[in-house]
Amino acid sequence: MIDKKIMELIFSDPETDLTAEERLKLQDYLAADPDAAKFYTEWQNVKAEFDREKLNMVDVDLKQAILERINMEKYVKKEVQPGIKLTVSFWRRPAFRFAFVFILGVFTGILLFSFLKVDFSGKKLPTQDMKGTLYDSRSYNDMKVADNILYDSPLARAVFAVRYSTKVVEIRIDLSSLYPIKTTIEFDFNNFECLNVQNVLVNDQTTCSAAANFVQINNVGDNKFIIQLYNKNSLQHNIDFKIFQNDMPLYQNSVVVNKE
Amino acid sequence: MITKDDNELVYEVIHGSISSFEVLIERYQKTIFNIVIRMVNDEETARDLTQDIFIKVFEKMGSFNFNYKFFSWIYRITANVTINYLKSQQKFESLTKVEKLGCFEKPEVDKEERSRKLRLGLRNISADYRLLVLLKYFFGLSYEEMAEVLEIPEKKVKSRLFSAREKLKEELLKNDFFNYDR
Repeated sequence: MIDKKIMELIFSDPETDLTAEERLKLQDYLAADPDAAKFYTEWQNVKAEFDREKLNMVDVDLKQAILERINMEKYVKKEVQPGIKLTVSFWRRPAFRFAFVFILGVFTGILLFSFLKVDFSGKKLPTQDMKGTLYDSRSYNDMKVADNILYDSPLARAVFAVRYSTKVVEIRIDLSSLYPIKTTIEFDFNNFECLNVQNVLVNDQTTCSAAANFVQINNVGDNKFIIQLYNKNSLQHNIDFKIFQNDMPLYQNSVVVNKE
Repeated sequence: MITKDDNELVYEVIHGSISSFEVLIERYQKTIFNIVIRMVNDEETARDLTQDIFIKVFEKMGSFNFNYKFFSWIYRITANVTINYLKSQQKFESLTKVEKLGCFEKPEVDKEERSRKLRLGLRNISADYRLLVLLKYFFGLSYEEMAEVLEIPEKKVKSRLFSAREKLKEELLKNDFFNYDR
């Protein structure tokens, strides 16, 4: 068995692959190992055989055949290309892509609107169906009038316009007082719930707060509010309006909603 | 007449000169055919594959990197085409093909057997090893050039070539190449 390192040296070309030192090393190995020396000679024979094979190079002339094939392929390409283009490029046409995106967009839109249940018929929804806190001033005109009450004295002036639908009670309040007054709108929380207090025209000395069963306005000067209550059921209920000055009652009245 | 170098001819081919491509064919067809025939051991196949290689060269000429040598590029294409062919044909290969080789000139009678055994030995090692041995001993490429052709580091070329030679040695031993009495 010849050592791998010696084999590497034997396989190498002494003229080009080996340094002078490696050549000397190889000579030493070959002198010391008869098997290595024998294989070295045999490998030289293999290389010589390769050299003889080089002289045995087969001559060939394929130029014409190659050129003909190239020309033929070019010709075929020219003939075939338009046909291929028609079928292949159809899907790649920008117009097709835009159309595809457009149709996809329309389809997605239809799907989305069908989920949102948007009514394109132009019909006006009945005010009674109005829900939640969405304020639509037009709905007020469609509401049923519960009452319009007025308090007018040298100390204060108050107007309470109360309207209602099956879901909402809207109270429009105009307050006017030279000195501070306290106005409360009281209701049963089992029947009503304050949804929204809108400061229509309110000065910075006036405050308004809402609780589960009342809304309180501390008023100075001229102010306007809109208060919306959630009408929890269709039974008749009272909403009480009170006006105080220095905790002394000035005025008290009630309005009945859900009369019809 | 001034002889144009390969890269000049490639440049001209890219710019539409078929005659420059003809020059390249004339320059390389013999070498390529002789690599291929020693790889596939069949003259007809070698002719077809050589044509395929030149057509591939023509088609890919536009992507040729002028920083490289044309010969290493065409050798690389040759290596890929022949090895792919051999891989696809592997199951159909048989040793009898070696015996069919009729394209080589008949060597002298006392050397004919040695030549046949060498070809048989080459034929029996893997295509990758065969290519390495041919590039080194038949076409005399340096390790550096082989690395460029095969797109692998020079160090790897050396280690693979060592293994290839070991395999060839085993095959030649099997065929009594070394014990041939001259």
